[in-house]
Amino acid sequence: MAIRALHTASSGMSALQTQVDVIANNLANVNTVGFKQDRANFADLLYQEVRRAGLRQPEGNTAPVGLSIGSGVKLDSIDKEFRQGGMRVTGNNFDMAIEGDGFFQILMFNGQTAYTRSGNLFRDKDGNLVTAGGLKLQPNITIPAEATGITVSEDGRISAIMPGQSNADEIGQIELARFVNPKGLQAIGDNLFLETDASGRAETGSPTTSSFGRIRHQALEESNVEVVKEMVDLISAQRAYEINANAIKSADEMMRVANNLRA
Amino acid sequence: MLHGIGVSCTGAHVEMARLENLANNLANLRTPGFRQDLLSFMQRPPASLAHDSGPDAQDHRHNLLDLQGGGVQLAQSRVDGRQGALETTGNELDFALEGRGYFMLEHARHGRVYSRAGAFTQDKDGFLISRDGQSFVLDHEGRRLNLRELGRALGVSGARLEVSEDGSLAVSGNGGAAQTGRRLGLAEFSEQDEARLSKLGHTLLMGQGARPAQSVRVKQGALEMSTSDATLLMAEMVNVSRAYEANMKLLKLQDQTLGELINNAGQQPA
Repeated sequence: MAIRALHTASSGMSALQTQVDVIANNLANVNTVGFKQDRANFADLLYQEVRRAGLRQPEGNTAPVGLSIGSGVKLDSIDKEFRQGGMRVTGNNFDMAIEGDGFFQILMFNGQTAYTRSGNLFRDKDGNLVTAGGLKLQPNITIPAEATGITVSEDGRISAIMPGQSNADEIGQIELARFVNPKGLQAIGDNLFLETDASGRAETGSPTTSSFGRIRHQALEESNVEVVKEMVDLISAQRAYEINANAIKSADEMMRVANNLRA
Repeated sequence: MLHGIGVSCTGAHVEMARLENLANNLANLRTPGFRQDLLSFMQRPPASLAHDSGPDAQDHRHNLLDLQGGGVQLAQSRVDGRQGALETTGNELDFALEGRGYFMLEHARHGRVYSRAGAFTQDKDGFLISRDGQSFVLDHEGRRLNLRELGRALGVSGARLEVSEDGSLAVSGNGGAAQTGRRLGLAEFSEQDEARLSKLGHTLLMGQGARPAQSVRVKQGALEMSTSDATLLMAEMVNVSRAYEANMKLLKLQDQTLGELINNAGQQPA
């Protein structure tokens, strides 16, 4: 009997423990460019219906309310909040931030396309735009070694001034991808996401069209983790954990009493 | 004497059920849209009456047992209908309800269900669904809501949903904002029907007698927190422990007295 209270309270403890894990990960990524905050969602578990509402009672009347006892809580989902992060101007020529729903497309070593919000790009030895992990932007953009005065417009056109010329030439166009349900994307670390059945297929297009968003040159999108909110969540998760531990203690105490009846 | 032991047992039994219920309320301290269950108790009819409710039951009322009472039993569990605190999340697809009412959902297995938890998301086709992916969110006419189509029909690209307090849905995007003429499906129940709603878990409720909600307000970008009250639950937990202990003490006392009687009474003094 009290055994069930033990399981109920322990379901609370383990769900809250996971929430603390999620908060810890959010806080660890408070300075990660393009990071999107995770949120743990809870739902209650099944109910034992001791007596159903509306049943006829032996006395002939119907029970106005039933009698049901719940059996605890479980983690429903942990999903990303794709709210826009703040903009930090860096002055770096290969830093780009997206203001809107879009994702940069990245070609992985296995040929698959991954998606990211983090636009801190670099130039590899051949002049290709790559992520910090060396993965190429897709469609590939090559910036000639001798190019100067690189600019990226809001709609993703990259232009540079070549030696001996006074006007900037367009050398590439950034293409963004977007998803019906970005929460359904699979996070694989390194700020990268993969398409899944839940996210829907990637829809690609140029920045500033539809809701793909604008490109902000020489800026980075900061992590959208709000430290104060995480701290408040941490405090309440910890207290809720404590109080569930207390319920376990109570159940234990009651079983001890029952156990000592014949002592 | 044996009767008394049974009575103490019913007390302990009820306290145990109270603890189980408390543990569930506590476990759901952080579940959005959860409403705590409150258990109530009633006097158990004396044993002789419970077993014999025939026409001549009255004649047996002189029995001493009838005067002693039969202990206690669980009467009902009632959902605490108070408003939970609203927590702002800033998420486009989080909705909190203020006042009496429920979101209408269509569950894959259970059909029409109701919930106070408004943490929704959309599936790959653009349908507004619950987080577990099991239910579609319905509009005021019981139709599923497809956000992508709503935006497309109005020629708004990259539509964002905007929900006003009465649940009317508007989409806004690059092409401006437009009303969709549809509202979130919000239902309410008469007090009697509301008490009869059965909990399915996943903060879902099922039951009859739904009618369009009159007085409920929708807040976008917020969630209603659990109504479980930690302080109250903590105090009640202490109370439960002690009440259980007291019942057990009494049981023990009766056992001892009975033991005295059996072993010592009527024996010749040595």
